[in-house]
Amino acid sequence: MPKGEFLGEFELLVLLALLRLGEDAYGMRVRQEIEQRAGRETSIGAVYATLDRLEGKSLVHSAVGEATAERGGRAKRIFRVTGAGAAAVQQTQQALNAMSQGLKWAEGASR
Amino acid sequence: MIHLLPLRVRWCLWLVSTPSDCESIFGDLEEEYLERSRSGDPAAGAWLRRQGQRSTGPLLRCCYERGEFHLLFALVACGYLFPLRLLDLVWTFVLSQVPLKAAAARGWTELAVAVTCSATLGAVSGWLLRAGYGRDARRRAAWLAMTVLPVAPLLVRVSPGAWPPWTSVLLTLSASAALFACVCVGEQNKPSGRPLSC
Repeated sequence: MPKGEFLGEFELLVLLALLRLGEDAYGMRVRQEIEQRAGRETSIGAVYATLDRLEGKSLVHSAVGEATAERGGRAKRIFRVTGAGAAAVQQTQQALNAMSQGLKWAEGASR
Repeated sequence: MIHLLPLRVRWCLWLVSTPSDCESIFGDLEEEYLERSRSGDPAAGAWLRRQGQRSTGPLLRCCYERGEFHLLFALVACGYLFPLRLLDLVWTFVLSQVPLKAAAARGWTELAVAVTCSATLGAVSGWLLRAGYGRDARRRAAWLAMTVLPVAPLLVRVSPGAWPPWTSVLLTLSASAALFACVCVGEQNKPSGRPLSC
């Protein structure tokens, strides 16, 4: 992967949330998934800003979903991870694993 | 339920997000707020307001990444024009209390305000020129109105004798430079792989 195309930490979290959610991946669910699994409180604006950036890089694509009464008649925007997005997640995970392999966490933390 | 968000927060979110993002964000906030209130969360209203306030920053950054530099101009204008104007008022008052100094009170701050306003107007016009007039028309019109309204009285002030003649040249130059920057630099910053939605 060329320099500049590695995923940022929050981009990785958003892509992983999209992969976990599958068909039900839209802004609110992504935000909740990150909050519940990663324990990171985040705003809906940050999620959409990241999704827009990922869509700009062609790592996700979006489609307009159905409008419901709970949403005040507003349509959902459903997101899907593209092939390039899934590959980017895999490569970033591999890079993280390679970097953390063999590290002694207790020693590192005490320094 | 979105009316529970303060008007200024709704207004800010609307100004900094694309129409599709705006609809999705308001829909998501409304859906989650309903979920929380149905489950008896007493802090659902506070949660909604906090979400609205915290969402503006990332969306603003996203606008900048999309090449919408008019926002940067507007932020700079708001960031320093209001304190500058306040300082001007205080300084005018102080000088008015000193004999023979009252005439020296005005001048440079008004010029700075005028230059910044005309640059912001130029930047917004550049954004309009670059992005065209499409489905995002209402947001564009709001931006234009927000910049034209403060500039109009200032232009009235630029009457012969009020300021030196070169000030009108300076105002035109600043507006043109900002317009050029927003058209050209914004075009270069356009994200690849996706049409500019706003």
